[in-house]
Amino acid sequence: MSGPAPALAILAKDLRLELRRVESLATMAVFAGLVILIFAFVGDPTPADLARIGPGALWASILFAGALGFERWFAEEERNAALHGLLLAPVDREILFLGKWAGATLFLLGLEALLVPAAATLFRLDLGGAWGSFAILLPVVTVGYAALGTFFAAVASRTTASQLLLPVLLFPLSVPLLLAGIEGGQALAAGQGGEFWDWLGLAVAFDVLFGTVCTVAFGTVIEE
Amino acid sequence: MNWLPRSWRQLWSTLDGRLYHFLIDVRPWIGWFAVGTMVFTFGLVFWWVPLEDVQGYPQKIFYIHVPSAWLAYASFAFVFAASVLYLWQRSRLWDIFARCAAEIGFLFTTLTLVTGMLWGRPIWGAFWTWDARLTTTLILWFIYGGYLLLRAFARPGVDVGRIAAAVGIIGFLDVPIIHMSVVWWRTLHPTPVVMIMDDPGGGLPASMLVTLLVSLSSFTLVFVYFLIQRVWQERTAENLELLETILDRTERGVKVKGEVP
Amino acid sequence: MTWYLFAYVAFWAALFGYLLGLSSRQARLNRRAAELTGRLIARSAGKGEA
Repeated sequence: MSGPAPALAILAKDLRLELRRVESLATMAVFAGLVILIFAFVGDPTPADLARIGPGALWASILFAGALGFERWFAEEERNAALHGLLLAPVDREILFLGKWAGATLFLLGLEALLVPAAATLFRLDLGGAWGSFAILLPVVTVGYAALGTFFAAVASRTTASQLLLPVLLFPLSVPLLLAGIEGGQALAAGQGGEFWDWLGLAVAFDVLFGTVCTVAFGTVIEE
Repeated sequence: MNWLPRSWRQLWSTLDGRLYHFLIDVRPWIGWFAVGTMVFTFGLVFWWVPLEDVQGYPQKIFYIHVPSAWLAYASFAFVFAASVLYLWQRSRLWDIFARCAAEIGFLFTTLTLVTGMLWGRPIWGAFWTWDARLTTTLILWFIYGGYLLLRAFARPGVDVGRIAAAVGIIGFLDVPIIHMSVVWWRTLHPTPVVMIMDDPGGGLPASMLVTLLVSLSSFTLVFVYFLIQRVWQERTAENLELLETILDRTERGVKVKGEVP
Repeated sequence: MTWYLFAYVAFWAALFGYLLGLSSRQARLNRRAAELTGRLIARSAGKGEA
């Protein structure tokens, strides 16, 4: 058994690596911005349409950029057999996963800190007083997506086509989170508080279930 | 299984092996029985069951669409069960079962989608609508397509069965949540009214219900035959592989090390 | 009528396609088994003479 300290060490290591060389986060931000740009071309939107596609464009950009990031953050461990070193350390696999998961969540939140204002400006998304509610939904969805993403990055790293396979495995399973993000955002934009809480509840349930399952299953995937 | 008393474990493994060999032995009988019931089903569909008043001929797609959907969902439940058993007992047989069930399930999911679209074209006027059930089935198709791709792209030397088992379990757990979220997504929106087929059994005339039930059982037999045949082939292929390695090594005069299973 | 026939044709095509795949795989397995059995026999025969 090992305490949570190794998870924090892994998190600190990932953060230090990422902050020292910001290129992957910067590339993801640019890529996500391009996804938002492409959404503006979809359907030639009028100002009314803009607010309607806004949440969808925002979440699609997070989804796509996230898939790029997860693959890269995991590939980082494969380089120089760093993963072998981690696996040899007397640390539970679950703790390893928690560390990687926390790192992925923080990176995604950092990305979203750039994307949300950009999408809100470009799509004239005005939630008014509901921004506070949106600030709850955003991390809840992000935590779940980071759990699935980290887990499937580990899965995909065991194959010969990890970049190809990760989105193929990850996207269909993330549908409930994606819908919770989009529909919850649209409910806020339309001033329908009740629906928003339904979607938030769904996302929380998803996080609890798949956070647990991914943490437990990580060991089976990574085991040599 | 280690928590079970030793005698129980032995009993289980004997039954396990007996059941497997029994299924392998009766395989040709199942196959021919499946062919017979399939012919009977199509006899009923083409010559016996009356035409439905409103939909006419396209309604007959129902008799292959519903059984395909049933088998699609049943085989993914099978993948889940076999994955759990594989992670638990680590017996190669369960891994093979999971892989073969996923393959056949993918075939029937594809058939469900295709027959559903060919029914939708004359009845709805469009091949596809974003109805909750259609969307869930499409997502299911992607999940298990990904599962099969994962197995195909495994890095050499990696025990892909274990990883695929984890993915099979997570995928199966996700399906009800996906369905729920998709239902919410559709019902919270104003959707164009679509005609949705009545529940089988509700308002369905007796002749159509009988045809459907016969069709369901014949499809299930086909599924069982496919599954046993595929599992047997995979087992045989593995055994032949082993035999070849042994032959190669002994012919080169190298002594085979370790236990030969 | 046409859509209904299409659906049944697609269904039969898929089913027979899969069966064809099964039997070709079976034929490959049989060939391989025969080849390996041949090697096994040849080897034991060689041993008997020696």
